[in-house]
Amino acid sequence: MLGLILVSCILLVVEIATPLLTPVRSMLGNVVAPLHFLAALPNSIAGGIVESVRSRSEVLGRNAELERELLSMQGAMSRYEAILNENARLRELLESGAHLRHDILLAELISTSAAPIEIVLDKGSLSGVRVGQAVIDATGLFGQVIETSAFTSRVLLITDPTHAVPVRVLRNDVRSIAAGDKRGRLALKDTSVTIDIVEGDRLVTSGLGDRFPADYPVGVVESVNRDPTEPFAEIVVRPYASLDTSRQVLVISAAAPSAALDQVGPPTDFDNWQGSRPP
Amino acid sequence: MNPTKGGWLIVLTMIGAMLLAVLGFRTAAPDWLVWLRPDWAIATLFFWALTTPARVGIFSAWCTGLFFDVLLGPSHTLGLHGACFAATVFIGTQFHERLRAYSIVQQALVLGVIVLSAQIAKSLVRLLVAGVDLSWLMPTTTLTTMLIYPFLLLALRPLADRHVR
Repeated sequence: MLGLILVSCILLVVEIATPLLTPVRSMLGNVVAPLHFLAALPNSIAGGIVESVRSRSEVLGRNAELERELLSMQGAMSRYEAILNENARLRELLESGAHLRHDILLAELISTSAAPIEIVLDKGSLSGVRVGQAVIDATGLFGQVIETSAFTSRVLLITDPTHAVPVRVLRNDVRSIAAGDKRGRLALKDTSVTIDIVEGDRLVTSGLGDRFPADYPVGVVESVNRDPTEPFAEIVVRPYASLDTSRQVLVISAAAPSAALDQVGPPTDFDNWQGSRPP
Repeated sequence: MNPTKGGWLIVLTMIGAMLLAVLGFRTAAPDWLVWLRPDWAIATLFFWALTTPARVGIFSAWCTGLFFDVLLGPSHTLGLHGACFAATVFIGTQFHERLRAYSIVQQALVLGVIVLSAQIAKSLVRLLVAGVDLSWLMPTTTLTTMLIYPFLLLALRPLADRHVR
């Protein structure tokens, strides 16, 4: 009995200190994956019943609404394509690395947990989901993948207190880091009281840190509290993504850092670094 | 007594407990229902330890715990549930004669103490690993587990009588 508790304690230390147990977890994860799907059944059935009892007029109305929405989206999209092309041309002129287009993978949420704030998706490593990939929904950044098994993956949401995402303000490019707070909001960390951020400012991912791709919407500044006696301002951000209600999310793959980013900044591989030489 | 008789039932109830541990109420019910989720696994193990002490071992309980750790994500380090389960089975089997003589209310109280200790252990580890604050989950889970225990007995005892013993 004491032996088993000792083994548990050793495993605890091993798991906190090293990634040695990740493959074990992933393997056992394949075994318990069916349980996640099974546990999601009541929800899917409830959703299915709600869908099937909708009246005909309601469905027709909704359909018309969606068609209108699709039309306006297509209109916006065609403009977006043009802008994208123009942007690529301009970048060519500037000879800076082009932004990569990211592949996306549609995944459905099958399980949630309140603390830590995580969700489980129905796509795993077999579908190409990798640890570290960003997850978005239709309106904004959702979280990042922290664990995968063959058929499921676990996502830590951006509002979890242990999660932080590098952001910039759309209005003036001020950079900051948005960490989850404990009330389903984000807080900007260590921002000085003099920083130019006001209520209503929109935040997007800055792409720094090589984890999240750049320019995905994160949230909007809800309140700014500047106390002159404190060194840092208290800035609360409301996430764009409907973290409580979204059932379908997109996993962004191939979020490779852009070529331009690779060429700047301090060397990371110090062992083999021999100073900057012309190519 | 056939030593393997009805082992499937014990496994089945544990799988049921796993399912109830992750069952999502997301759209069907309000969020606060999570707070009232009892610790089905420990209650079920406690029942089996009392009813058929020869059939549940602390090592198999510990191994079952591994699956719970994986199911509930990286904030539960491997072995965390195992330790709680092994302790439950250990207490249940060591004192099964005395515990069986107790009334249901007394049994539920003992179970409550076990669940509370397990909750405290889990909360401490989660605080250490994922920075999750200590929450009201500890007392509410303990209370609801004690409340569902008599119903668990009602449901499982006829099954145990027919298939395991």
